[in-house]
Amino acid sequence: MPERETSSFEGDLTIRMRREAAGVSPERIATLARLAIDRRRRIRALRTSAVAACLVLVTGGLLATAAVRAGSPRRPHRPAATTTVPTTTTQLRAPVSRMPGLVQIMGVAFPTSNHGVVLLQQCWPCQAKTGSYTNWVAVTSDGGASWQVKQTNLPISGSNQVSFANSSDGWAAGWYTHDGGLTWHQAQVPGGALIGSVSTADGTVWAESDSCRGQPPAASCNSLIFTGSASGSSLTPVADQPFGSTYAPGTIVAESGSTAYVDAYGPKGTELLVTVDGGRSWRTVTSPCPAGDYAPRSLAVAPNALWQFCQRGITITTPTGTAVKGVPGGKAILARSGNGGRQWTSAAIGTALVGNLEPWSFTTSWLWTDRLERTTDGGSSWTTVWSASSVPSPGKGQTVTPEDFSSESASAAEIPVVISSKKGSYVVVERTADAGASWQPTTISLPDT
Amino acid sequence: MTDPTTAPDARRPVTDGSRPADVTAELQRLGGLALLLCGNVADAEDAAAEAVARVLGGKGLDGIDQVGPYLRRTLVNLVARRARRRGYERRTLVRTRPVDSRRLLEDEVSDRSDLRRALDSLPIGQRAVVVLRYFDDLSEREIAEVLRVPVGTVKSRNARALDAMRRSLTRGDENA
Repeated sequence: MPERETSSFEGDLTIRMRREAAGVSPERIATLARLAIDRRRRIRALRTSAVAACLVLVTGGLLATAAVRAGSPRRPHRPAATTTVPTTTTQLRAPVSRMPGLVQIMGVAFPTSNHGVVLLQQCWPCQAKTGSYTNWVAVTSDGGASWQVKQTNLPISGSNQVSFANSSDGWAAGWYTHDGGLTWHQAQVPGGALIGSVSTADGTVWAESDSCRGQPPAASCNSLIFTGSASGSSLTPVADQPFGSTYAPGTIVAESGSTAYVDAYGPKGTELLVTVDGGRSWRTVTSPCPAGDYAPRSLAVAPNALWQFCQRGITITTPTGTAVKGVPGGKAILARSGNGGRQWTSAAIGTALVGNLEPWSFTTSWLWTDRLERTTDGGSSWTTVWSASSVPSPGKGQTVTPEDFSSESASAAEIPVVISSKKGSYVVVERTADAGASWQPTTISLPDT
Repeated sequence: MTDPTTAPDARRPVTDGSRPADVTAELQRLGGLALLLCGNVADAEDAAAEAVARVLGGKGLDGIDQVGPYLRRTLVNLVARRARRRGYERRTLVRTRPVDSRRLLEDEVSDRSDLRRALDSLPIGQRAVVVLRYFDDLSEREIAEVLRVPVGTVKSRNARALDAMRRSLTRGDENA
């Protein structure tokens, strides 16, 4: 039957195309797009300057010619032009110095209201195909009044998750700091396993490792869960390792020293696992995401509350293959559980509000998309408490790029933004202590190297 | 291309970064579209980034989900322009250095999958239709709006492209 052959071929074509198209990196496209935008802006500014210079020359020539023709040896006296200084509402402190190249925020953490850490990556010189990257850390111990900025050997990547147990002890991937983020050291991990996400709670650090060999659908993984003291320098595998060779862990989130949750991706799809005895045993928790089109993301934990999004259009690569969960767009689902995942409460919300959650109770949470939202009714309604337009105008020709946020309580949050222009980039950290009702900016000057 | 099994965050949803979910999903989708149109990752990422820069300019990436059709049209136009330029360069290269360049082209082609080879053999107009239809899941009317051609043209290009791809992929399967 020709008709059946056609539809089977077309269905096969869709599957093959989606598999083939999974090889591009959205992060890399975003970086290249920023570079291209920056390049176009510089060219436009150069062109404008050239046109202005030509106009000045031509006008000057015409005036001189007119003066000569009128027989006047001197230029006519003109009153000085009145410069109208625009009324500025800016509260930003001007940076002492700016950093050249492309600067990106790679992580932020404020373990206390006084102590904060911002991780930065500088691409300089930065071409589209190749770039030289330098990693920097900015640390404050006085609530943002002053910042110490220095280069760091911490290998910053897009997947870094910075987690501090207190103002001294912090972890990012397989690296730790005991001086509040100024210096970082590689942790001792058995077998040299590559650590992915980390999470700290009650002085304990939880971590998961990604160790896979080969290509899907025949990849073999040896993924492990580790724990350790947040003030220590090593990680130890937990007694019961829940993953076989065909499962790989996603993000791990710690609720306490003994309780942690972890996403897992494998042949049966996605699963949510929990331990309540420090990793001696694990059980599978019912996923709030409907089977098929939806995949979980942004697993987050608060005291006695578990929050998670279920989203469509996500590409998931497991050791046994790559799958796209549904077509992007449509409604996402926000699910909450108040009893460790035994029962879930769901609310359908628009995709525009899918992002990274930081809940502080069963009803109150922050949500970062391209702006900061806050809910106090479990996600039924969200209030935008910050967006890029909230930043006091930094000046003409400057762009404001927010990347991430951190929250230190249900009412206090920090958002670092990069402000860049052709002169270079610096960072402004916007802070609120009243649930987003008001924001105070502090400026981080970056070295001009 | 990044090895999907060794990249640190390869097994997590691609939207798990700090970037807004819609922006990441749209960039992933646009990148996939570019990859199928261009045939290799480097060109695809460059083309997708250039399209984003042209359409969004100084507005940043935030409004990317509201300019989908325009972004796709810009991407297709960019790829078509690059294909024309590359065709000219290849013709010139083959004329001036016949032996080396032919070997170079054969090596390049042999690394590609059957699907990419089948797509590459299509004219850019047909390739755009078939990729928008079966990868991007657009209707014939939506494709007509994106490419600014009549719906009838979309239908005929789609039929010809499917016919050519069916022949190409069947031949590839038989050879395998």
